[in-house]
Amino acid sequence: LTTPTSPDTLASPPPGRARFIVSLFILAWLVWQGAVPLSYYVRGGVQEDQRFSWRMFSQVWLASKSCNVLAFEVVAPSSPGEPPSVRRLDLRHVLHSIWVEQARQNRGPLVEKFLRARCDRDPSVLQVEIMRTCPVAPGPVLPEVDRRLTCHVDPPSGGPPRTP
Amino acid sequence: MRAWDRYWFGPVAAIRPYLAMKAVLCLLAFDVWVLHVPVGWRYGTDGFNVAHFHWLDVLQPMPSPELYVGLMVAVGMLALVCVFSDPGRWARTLLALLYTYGWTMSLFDVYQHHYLLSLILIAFVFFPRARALVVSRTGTPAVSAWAYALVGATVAIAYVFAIVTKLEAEWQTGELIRRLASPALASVWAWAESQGMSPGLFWQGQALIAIVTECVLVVGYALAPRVDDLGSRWLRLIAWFALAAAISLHAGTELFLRLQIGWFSYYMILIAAIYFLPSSVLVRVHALGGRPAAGLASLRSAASAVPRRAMLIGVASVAALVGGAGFAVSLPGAGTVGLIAASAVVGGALLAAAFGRLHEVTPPVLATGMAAVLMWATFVLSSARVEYYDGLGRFLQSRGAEAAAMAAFEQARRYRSSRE
Repeated sequence: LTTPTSPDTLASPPPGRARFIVSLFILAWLVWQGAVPLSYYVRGGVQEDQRFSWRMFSQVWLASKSCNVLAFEVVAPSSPGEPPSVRRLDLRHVLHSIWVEQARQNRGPLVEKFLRARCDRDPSVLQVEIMRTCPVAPGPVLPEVDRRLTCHVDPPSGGPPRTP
Repeated sequence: MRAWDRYWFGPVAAIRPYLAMKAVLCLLAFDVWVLHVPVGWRYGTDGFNVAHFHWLDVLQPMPSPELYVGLMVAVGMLALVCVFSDPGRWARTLLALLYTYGWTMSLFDVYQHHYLLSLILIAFVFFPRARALVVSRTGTPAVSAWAYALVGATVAIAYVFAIVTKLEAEWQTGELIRRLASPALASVWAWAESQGMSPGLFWQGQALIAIVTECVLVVGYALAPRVDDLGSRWLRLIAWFALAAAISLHAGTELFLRLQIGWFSYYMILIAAIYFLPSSVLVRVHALGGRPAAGLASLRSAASAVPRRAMLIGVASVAALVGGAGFAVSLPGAGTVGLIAASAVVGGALLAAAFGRLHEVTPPVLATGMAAVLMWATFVLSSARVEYYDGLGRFLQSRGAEAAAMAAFEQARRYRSSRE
């Protein structure tokens, strides 16, 4: 119990200039903490990315839970002369369920990365498309989303795509 | 002193920042081991990941179970090292960085309270370096702790925006809370209905209670840094109201709502207790629970009497224990963390020895040993490893990798039976 206390063991207020710098830091921190959540409201419309805005259990979050996500790929024909085919992806078999959940919440970077990953994975894939639809219900109206990525610049030969 | 200076740099009871840091870090250590590690298998699955920030996606490698689990094991150990000793601000900085990278590396983790914890960990870097010994000896000395006030302000801001969210229509009508209600709340509703209460009144009432409670918390956290200095009866009364509000809001959330929010409620109740309880109560609580830290701090002076050779043998033993604990838990990345921690123990001790200050590293070295033992015990006694391998097995099964899935299930079964 005789251990000497170090100078900041019982900290005293920082002196003059240091206090000014700390005050600036505090001010910047408060502005940051206020501005980031406020930016959600300033952006207007139905913003679905609610990270860093302290919007826990919002109606937008709840509404997105009833949305549906579908993904399709246009695949090059296996033999020349045939039209390309369209196949529906079972998202649960190609993505972890949390990513599917996030796609329901229309997370742009996730959707873009997914489309790109599908193109890169299989050279026979000509185009990938992901669609989100949400039922009309009381509360915020979440927009329908339809994003597609053309994997190859060259148009496929053999006529329009056929669905299986 | 201007009002600004009085608010941020005015005196607060030393026990508050001290306990706030130690208690939150203690909870954090077990939180990451018990709740984060079990989902570590999913990182990098299907070769797909999206980070919270694009620049991070560009910079970082594809996250893997080794990286994530290793990171969480390291975060827990470092948090406990900071609980049992005071290695310095560098350790708190490293902890804040590792923890923040842990959730920013992937949108798998979008829990907002992990962001809040990161903010709190950053503020901890600037907390005073009070020792358990000093606090317990002198009762409730006062310190200037602007970062402590900043944590209170940050929590208050979070509650302000949580209130704003609750002003939306579905909260106002009670529709959202009705949809989130647990069977316990449904039972309360059934009883209220039998008493003739209308559904609208009941559900709107719940939403209103949540809003009013959060308003009390905002006021409480905003005033908390001034309670010890002013000692006003009104401020103390508000603090008691705020404590009651925090307990009822967060205990109510756990009890009455179906939410998956980890240990968020426990963090918030813990923080509220430290900000709002009288400092004399906190001193008594610390006297009960702060002995390990006080004991380690006293070892620093006792260690100076131990011969250098014996000290080095002790350091080597602790390093072996730390490395062994990492490998013994049989989780991806844990062995690597054990090796890194053991190397840090040996390296730090040798460096200190070179400057003739070996006795000064005794508390952090022993704290690392204690953290490693607690980490090992947590994984042995909790269901974390069972959940990890069960989750991995189910995922592999869904991908048609039957043999690998069976191996994972077998590992889960082994850990399950070892707990029985």
